[in-house]
Amino acid sequence: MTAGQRRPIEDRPFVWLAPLFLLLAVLYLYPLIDVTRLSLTDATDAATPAHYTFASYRSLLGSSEFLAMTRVALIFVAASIAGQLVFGLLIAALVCAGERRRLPGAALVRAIVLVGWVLPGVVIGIIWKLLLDESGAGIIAYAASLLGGRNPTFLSAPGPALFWVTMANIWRGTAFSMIMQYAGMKTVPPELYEAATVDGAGALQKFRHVTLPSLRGILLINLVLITIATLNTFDMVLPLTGGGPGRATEVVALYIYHLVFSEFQFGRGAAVAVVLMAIGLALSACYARMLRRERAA
Amino acid sequence: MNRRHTLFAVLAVVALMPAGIACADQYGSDSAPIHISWQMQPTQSPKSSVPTVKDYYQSHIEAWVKAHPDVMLDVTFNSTDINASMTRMQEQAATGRAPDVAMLDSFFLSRFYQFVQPLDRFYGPDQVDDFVAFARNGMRGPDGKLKALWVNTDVRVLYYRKDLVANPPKTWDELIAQAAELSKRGLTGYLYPGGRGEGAVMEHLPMFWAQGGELVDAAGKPVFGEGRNRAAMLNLLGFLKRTIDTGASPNRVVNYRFEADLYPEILQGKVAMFLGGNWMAKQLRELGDKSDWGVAPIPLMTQGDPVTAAGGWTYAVFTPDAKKQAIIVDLINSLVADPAAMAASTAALSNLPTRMSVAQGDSAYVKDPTVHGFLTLLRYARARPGAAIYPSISTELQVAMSEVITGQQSPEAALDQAWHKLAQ
Amino acid sequence: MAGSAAIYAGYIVVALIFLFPLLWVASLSLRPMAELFAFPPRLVPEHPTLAAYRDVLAGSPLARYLLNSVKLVSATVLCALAIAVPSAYALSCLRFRRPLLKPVVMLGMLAVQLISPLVIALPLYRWFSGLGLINSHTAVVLVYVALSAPFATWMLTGFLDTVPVALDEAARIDGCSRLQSLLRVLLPVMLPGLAATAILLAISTWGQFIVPFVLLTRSDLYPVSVGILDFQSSMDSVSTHLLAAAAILSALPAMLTFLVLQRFIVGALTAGAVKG
Repeated sequence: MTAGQRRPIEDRPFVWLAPLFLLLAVLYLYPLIDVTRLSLTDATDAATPAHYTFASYRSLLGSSEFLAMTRVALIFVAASIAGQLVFGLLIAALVCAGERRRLPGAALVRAIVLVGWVLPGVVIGIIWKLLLDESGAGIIAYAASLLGGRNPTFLSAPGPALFWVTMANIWRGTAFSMIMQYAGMKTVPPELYEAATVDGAGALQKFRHVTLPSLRGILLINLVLITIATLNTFDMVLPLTGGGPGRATEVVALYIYHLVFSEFQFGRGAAVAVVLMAIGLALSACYARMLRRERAA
Repeated sequence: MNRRHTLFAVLAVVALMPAGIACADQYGSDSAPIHISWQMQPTQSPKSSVPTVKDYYQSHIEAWVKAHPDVMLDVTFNSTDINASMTRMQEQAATGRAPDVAMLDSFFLSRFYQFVQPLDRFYGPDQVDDFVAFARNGMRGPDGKLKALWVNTDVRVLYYRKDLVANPPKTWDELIAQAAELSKRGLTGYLYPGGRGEGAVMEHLPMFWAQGGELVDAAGKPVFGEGRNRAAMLNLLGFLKRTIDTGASPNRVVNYRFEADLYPEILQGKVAMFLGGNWMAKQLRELGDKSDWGVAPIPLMTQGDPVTAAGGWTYAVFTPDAKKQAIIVDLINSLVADPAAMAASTAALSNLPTRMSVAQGDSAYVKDPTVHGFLTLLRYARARPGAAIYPSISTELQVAMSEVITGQQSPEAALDQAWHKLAQ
Repeated sequence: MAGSAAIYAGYIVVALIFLFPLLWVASLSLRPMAELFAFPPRLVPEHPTLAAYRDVLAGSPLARYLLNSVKLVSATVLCALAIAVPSAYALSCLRFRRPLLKPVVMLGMLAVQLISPLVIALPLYRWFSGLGLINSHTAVVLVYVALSAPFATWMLTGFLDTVPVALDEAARIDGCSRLQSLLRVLLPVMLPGLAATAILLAISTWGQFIVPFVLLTRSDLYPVSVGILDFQSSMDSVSTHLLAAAAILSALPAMLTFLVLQRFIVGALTAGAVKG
């Protein structure tokens, strides 16, 4: 090929990427632009004409429901992060320890934990709803009564409802955290542990001073992924509480859904969606940077 | 190894699907020249889980289709979330994509007045006059034209266990006193739907109306947060709070969105009194319940004439095609609207007829003493307001009620929140 | 030895926590109606019966929902892979004129994964409503593909990166066009990566909820993730056992696939985790 010749068409990456780009442009980018445009209107149902205005954003900031929903989302995300990271670590450590001693069953335990990841979110919501039946026939209610509880309250009061929704979310998400942590732990060079043993470190100290620092990158990545997944949660909460009691478990996505499909407030729903999208984009950028740093390390 | 495992997995999945997949969503043959799209409510269709209902609709629809070989019925079903179903249908109607005929819940009918076809040429004034007053008013749109046929209805009552309650309470105070006493003995004194569902609001509207409260004015504007109406609503919310605070009712009532959500707990045998609909008596028996239930009017704030709320389903026609309209009317008449059909269908549903000729008629069903008792309550029954804003009012009241029950808000704060939301 | 015992105890606790909810629901699904509300509750029913499963499969639309899910998932996986393979080839093997474009494209792929589908489902709903594309399986598949092709591209790019460049070069020196090289030489080598990606796509598409929930209103078109909600509030009777049976049935395909291909999936996930 001489310097002046144009590259043959098959060498140009964008030819190969064209179908993907076309699909994304039509079915992803265009809707993203459209939702941003809708958020700048006061659109309601399809029949009413819409005008351009900042009113949707303004009314959001003033609405008490938006503030309540933000509070719920913050608690939900923070607790989910803590729970999933901690349990993921514990289980990954457990499985690794078992594998190191060549105890059979590690693969089985891993598989069982992954059940939470494989099940569709809707089914998980339904399963937990059935578990948390508050009448006498519910199994957890029965266990609570054996331990002395008189009036089991799981989903019928705001605090407990948010607690149990978070528990169900942790149950669901620990699997992925565990796999990430597990993969990370397997790549820690055994020499580090040997050196620690020589230095007289016990199991707990090895964990604190060898395992955790090595996993720092993965933990951070995990944190970002959990945040996003939890913020986007919709399918599990719908059958579990539907956002109730009242609005106590109305997470962001449910809030948007109610705004748009129950109250026909397309403009305001779009505004919240744009906020959600902005957060998703910001976290993606964080994730990408962390990945690059991790790969370089 | 992997390939064999994959094959096994695929076979296992396929084996889970039976040879004949149930999908009776089409009646009549594809080649029939006339296609009619019909959106049905599952609980009043061949898909109902109640055997008498399922048999009734299945056999009658099949017979009708056989007698009309030039028609194919393409049936789809509402989802179990009534609000979402009706809202979606509203959207479809607004974009011109409504089915030819649909079953609409009576409280949502007002949102469709502008979209449905008038049926006046099919039903003369004496036909319409045969319907009970609240049904007549609901079926007529603001322009006086007949918009739908309201083919069945129901009423709400207090059910009480005859072996646990000697004299059913007539007022709130009596109810709370008796229920709290029973709860102390380890039973559930008084159960009701208190969650986010239309059932919760509807069961309690009689208590509101009896005090003279109104949800909307004559023009359809919300007025429930003003003046005497506000006082009545605050009394109602205060009563609900008292049921929880005194232990008369457990706070899990906030999980019960519809009357049917009460069945599991009732079947466990520890419920002494509950607020429910007339159809529940027969259904409980069919579900295996052995208790002896008495029926009494809903307890009100002070003694007085009974008040109850009447619901039910309507049939509305969307297609402008005159020929299709005539066929659809024939179908509706033979299925649920003609006197004989209404008598048979309401008997199958254990609901109440909306034609007075049927209510005062000779069928064994209306002569049954329990049913007769429910029919006399129809005289004191009110339907929900036929204003387009009603579903939104109901949603806000559901939120208010559940927040008062869980203690998240005081009755005043909850009502103010609902009122400000809607007064915009 | 005490250490091993502690580890086994840990295994049992973990297994119980993750299995018990499923076992309870399975127990509910195997009960006759009379035992549904037995007090005190027991895990193993006294008279187990498959009646709920019979009722659900024969008398309810669940089988139809399962079939819809299979349809949607198969179509999506095939189309997504068809788009992702050439895209991954470009990202992995071709030189970009402006080298900074490649990380931007990869970031874009990532962003699609991390933004909630609800954000695009709303405008798509409005748009499709106007076009009459609501209640179209084709439209739903296209949206699924738009949502999953980027992830598939991401994963396949990672796999392709591990394939030695020499293979591709050798094929082209032999006279193959790039397309032929991709199809005849690289694809067979990529097979494990393709399979892993296909499985991950299938699992995530099976559980897709928001898109079909918003874009489908006819119940006969629902995939199982949406259809199962209808079992939750029965308006005219008690349906706990039916709901439980439906839940188990809708979870079964994903779980079976997972169990059979478990090692594969864990490998794919860990590879993905380490690669990012």
